[in-house]
Amino acid sequence: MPQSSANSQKLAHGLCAIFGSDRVSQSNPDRLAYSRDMWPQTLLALRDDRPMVYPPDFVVWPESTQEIVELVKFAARDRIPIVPWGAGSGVCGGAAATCGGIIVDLKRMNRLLSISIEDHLAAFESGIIGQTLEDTLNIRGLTLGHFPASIYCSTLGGWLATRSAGQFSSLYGNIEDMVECIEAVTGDGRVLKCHSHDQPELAQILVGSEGTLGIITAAEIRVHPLPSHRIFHAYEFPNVTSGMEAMRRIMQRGLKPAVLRLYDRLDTLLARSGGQGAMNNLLHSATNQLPFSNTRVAKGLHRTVFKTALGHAGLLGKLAENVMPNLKGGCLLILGCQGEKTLTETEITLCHAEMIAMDAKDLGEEPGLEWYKHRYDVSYKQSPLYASSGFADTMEFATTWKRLPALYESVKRALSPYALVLAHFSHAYQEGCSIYFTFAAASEGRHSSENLYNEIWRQGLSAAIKVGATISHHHGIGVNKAAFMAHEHGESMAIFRQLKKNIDPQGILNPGKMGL
Amino acid sequence: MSNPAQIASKMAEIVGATHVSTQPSDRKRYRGMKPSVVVWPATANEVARILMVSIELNAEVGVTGANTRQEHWTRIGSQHRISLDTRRMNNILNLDETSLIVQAQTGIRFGQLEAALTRQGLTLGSFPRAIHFSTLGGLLAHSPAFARSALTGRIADSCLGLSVATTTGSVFTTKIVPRRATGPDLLRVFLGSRGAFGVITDAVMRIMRLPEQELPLIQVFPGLRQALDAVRNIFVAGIRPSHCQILNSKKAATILEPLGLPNTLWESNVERSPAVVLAALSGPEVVVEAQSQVLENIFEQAGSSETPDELTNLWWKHEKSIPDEEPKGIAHTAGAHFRYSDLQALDKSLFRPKLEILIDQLNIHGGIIWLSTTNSKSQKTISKLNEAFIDIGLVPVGQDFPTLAQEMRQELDPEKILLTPQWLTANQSSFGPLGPLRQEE
Repeated sequence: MPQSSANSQKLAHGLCAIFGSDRVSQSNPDRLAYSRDMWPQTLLALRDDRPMVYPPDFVVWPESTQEIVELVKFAARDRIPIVPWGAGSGVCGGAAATCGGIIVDLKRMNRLLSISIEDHLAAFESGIIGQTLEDTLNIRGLTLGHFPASIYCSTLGGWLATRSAGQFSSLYGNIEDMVECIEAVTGDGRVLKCHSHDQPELAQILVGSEGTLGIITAAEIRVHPLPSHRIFHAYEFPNVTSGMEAMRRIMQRGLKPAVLRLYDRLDTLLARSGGQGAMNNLLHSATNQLPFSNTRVAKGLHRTVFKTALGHAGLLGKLAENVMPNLKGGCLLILGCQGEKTLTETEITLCHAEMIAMDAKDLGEEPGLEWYKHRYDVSYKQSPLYASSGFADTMEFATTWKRLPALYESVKRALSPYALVLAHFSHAYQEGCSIYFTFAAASEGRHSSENLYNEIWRQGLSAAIKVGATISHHHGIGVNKAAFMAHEHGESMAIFRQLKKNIDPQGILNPGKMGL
Repeated sequence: MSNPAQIASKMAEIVGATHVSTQPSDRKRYRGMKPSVVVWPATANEVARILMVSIELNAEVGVTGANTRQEHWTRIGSQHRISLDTRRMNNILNLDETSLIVQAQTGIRFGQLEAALTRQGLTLGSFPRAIHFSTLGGLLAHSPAFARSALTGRIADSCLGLSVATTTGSVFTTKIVPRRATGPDLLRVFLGSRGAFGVITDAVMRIMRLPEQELPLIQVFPGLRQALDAVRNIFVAGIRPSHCQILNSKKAATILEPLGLPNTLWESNVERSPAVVLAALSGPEVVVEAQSQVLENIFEQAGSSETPDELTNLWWKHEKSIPDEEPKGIAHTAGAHFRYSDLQALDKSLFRPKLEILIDQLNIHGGIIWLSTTNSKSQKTISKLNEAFIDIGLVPVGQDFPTLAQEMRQELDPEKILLTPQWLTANQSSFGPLGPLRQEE
């Protein structure tokens, strides 16, 4: 592991003066633990036994905004990078200490600051874990309505910093819609508070800034009553085109279903087989039929078949595309509505009518309930894939309804030579929708996987940009997509740089990210 | 320093001589700004060139649209001023009916854009009549608190994309997507910035289809507190009316009596000071029907009385009509953002019968309270009301330009050529700790 590059003694002394020695670490185990977030590029490095490339010099655990102010002022003196850290579950390398420096783990700042049921507002420190925040609200009959798949391993600060979206966004909105007031420490050590009623609304420049403009320390968020009723339903469409049209019609009638998710054929097939680990599960099922299924031979066979299949993922995808139309089963759509009883029943009736008008088959409530029960499972089924020389990742693009079919076709075409590609459509709006592409591939050798991974991303991002889509709907930029920020923003990237210069004059906040 | 003739000559090279004027008859329209030259560009590129050339000429630029607001312009130096009037930039550039978005130049008047959309069965949303004569650019740059739809929020919230001419002479255009996580929302730098950072030249706005069904309602409550409680319960039930305002008796008299509604509906006496809720539901027929049933229960519990349909329809017809003429004069009104938990303090200090009280921009968290008076010394009274708001911890509307935004001007307009309204110096401090806002119950 690379040795810490900063003047360690001086830094350690200064940090201990702020936090006390028990909340400062430069031990190798801690540096290793905080050397990566969940960016698959770093998981590949770990698997392929490549050296850790992003160990921080120090890790600190503040307990107050004032400590962070002191830290920033201290670090600014010698231009030492500071990287804010929530739960480290970001998938773009946004929390990796690419320039060394100090990781600031905010999870000790996890208090409820205030709550008002009368105003439906609550204020929390930013280090609170998402599910804990939701539980705190639920016992008071409230909900934030924000349910990212990472809710158990992400923080409020992380949500705000990455501009996250949750699975119920078509009803409750996204995280930027939930912010009433935000508190952050700027790169020059000032405590900034931005209210939603400020004009211009500068809270919205902190949201999504991924720690490059300020360290978010607290936020007041807008909450809602817990719904009294919830109804799920599922449908099967003959193709994605009719499913997309049904989604568009529903959103443009002003209806607000909490959940509206359409899976393409391949994703439907695998979803019906048990979720994203489904390919693994399919092979498991197949090898379990063999008489020697519990032997090492069977397990080895399983791994070989899996690796071979993913190593020719492009061919597999082509095969799937050719075979799919002849298979039974179409594209699954999950619908969920919730709220006051009469209103919920009315809404689901209208949504149902739109589905049937677009030739959907009614599958009843069971698939929807099943989805709801397992909606967070997919994130935790990656290990067997990586162990079999494979890897997977997701791309989440968004565009207007008019361009959505072209986005789907363009990205699938771009990725298919390299990977097995599934897609689902979710986070629907009146004017457009997001497409969530999952890709899986395999390659042998330390650098081969990295090269293939990077090429897949290059192809996918280029295809998305070509049709005018955004390069990220909700995962953020980090390191992974930084090279494409200029394409995304064009000349307005200069505005981002000017903001950075204004708020973080020494450039110490999460340097090396977002193309800055 | 350049003189007006030199400035006019340079402007003519950009926009053509017929679209530049130094005539007093043209300049007097912008008397708050006192320009030496007026210029009427037609495109974003012309605007960008004007800004670049203004730096060379050491001239300040004030952007005007419909000029419906009487502003006092900050006087920074002794430079000449150019009034950049956007009224020639009034074209609809693109209408995407599949995605329900429209792109228009920002010199277009709101009413003009809305009329064009209505002809196609579309609408920007249920915004107040008062903004019909304002330009789209003016509404986006100023994002006035009253320019808000109960259903869709501030007009700026309907904006999906912008083209902005900057003082570097370039025009950048943001990508048109429903939503993205690619850094700070750069749109928000310009929306509500009062033209301090650049000139918005065109905007992409969300639109919607004309509602399938609309149901207007007028309910009279025993008092403001009861009306606010009921409205809060409407939002708690998950209903978002397309129109929602609360008026006290005095305000109801000002707004509703001229329409022919009898004052017996809201007449105030010693024992009661009623409040009137003006609301509307819109959407698919069965949804409106379901929502109205929920509202009926809420109103019944609150002890309100319904207004006969023929009177409600009088109000609604007026509300939906296009205004014939621009609003005249200055409304002496003080407004402040409030939360429902502020009501006790408001009731104690500001719910006075002599004041006209209008409450709107309501949602599940609170709203904005507007106080106006016909007092002849109204400006002084308004200042006192603003002080009273601050005393009870509320933020007056218009004193919400954050200090950080002032700092950003150093980066985004380093030559300080963009004129902004003088009242921007009254600011909302961006700095200080959050602190507990309410005590946990």
